[in-house]
Amino acid sequence: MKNPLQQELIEALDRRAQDLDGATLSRLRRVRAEAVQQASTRRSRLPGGWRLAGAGLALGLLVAALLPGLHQTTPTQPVPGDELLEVAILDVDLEVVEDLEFYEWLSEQGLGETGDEGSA
Amino acid sequence: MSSFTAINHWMTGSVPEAPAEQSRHRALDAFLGDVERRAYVMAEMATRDPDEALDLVQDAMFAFARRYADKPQVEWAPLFHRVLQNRIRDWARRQKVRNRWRTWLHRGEDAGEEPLEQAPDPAVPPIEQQLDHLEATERLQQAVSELPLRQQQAFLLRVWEGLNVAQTAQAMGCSQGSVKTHLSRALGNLRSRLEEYHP
Repeated sequence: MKNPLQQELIEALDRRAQDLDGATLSRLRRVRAEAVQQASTRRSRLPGGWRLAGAGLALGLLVAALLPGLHQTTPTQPVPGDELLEVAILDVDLEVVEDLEFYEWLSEQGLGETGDEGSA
Repeated sequence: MSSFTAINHWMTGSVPEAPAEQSRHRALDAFLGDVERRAYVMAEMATRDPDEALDLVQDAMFAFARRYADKPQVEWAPLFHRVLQNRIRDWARRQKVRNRWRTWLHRGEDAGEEPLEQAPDPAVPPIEQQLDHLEATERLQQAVSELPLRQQQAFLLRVWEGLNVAQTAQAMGCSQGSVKTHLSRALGNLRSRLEEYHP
């Protein structure tokens, strides 16, 4: 609840706002129209620079996503056929590789059995 | 919309306004139209200069439309007044510095003037006499315009603009406690200035 003095002050200020001269009102209207136009332009139009920057960023992200795949040197999962590719690249006799794998398997089995026997 | 039209819009950077956008811009226009007169009066009371006041309102409207038009409409009033009051305060700070320099630069010139030249112009009636001639409305307006800036802001935003304490605090960039203090002092000041007319 406003006291009489406050009420009178509000009315005086309202009168002042209502009695603005034509030139001031005209300029206020122009400013308002321009402000609304600015808000409209800002939302509907991305500046050319920003569009270019957006395109650049998208291209950068695409390259960044593809690049690790191109330079991957240590596969995390052994892929069947990788060994063959390595053998082909190194030009090693396939029989030697198979023998090596066999001996590796044999030693693993032998060690396991030896361990079991030792503990028994 | 055809793909050609879409490409054309992309190339030119223009996008046709959606109905929601159009309605938002109408709301923005209505909001600014509702607040512009009071904003101008506030700026004019603070600056006592119609041109400066118009410049401040223009800056505030542009900045508000650029930065805050996307905000929910219930937040517009305190945000707009925050932008405007910040600009008024910046203006007041600049004026203070300018006046300090002016005083310092003209100190030497004043020293050489005759005392008679520094005396008040007898053709201009003293302030009390001038006040007597003002209409009651003008007297009330003058009392508000003579308040210290922060008290004036608190009074105009809280009492005239009708913002609540929290919104006034947001607009003034201070705590709610400070708003209450500034407002209480403003009302006290106004009462003492106008008591002879409002016993």
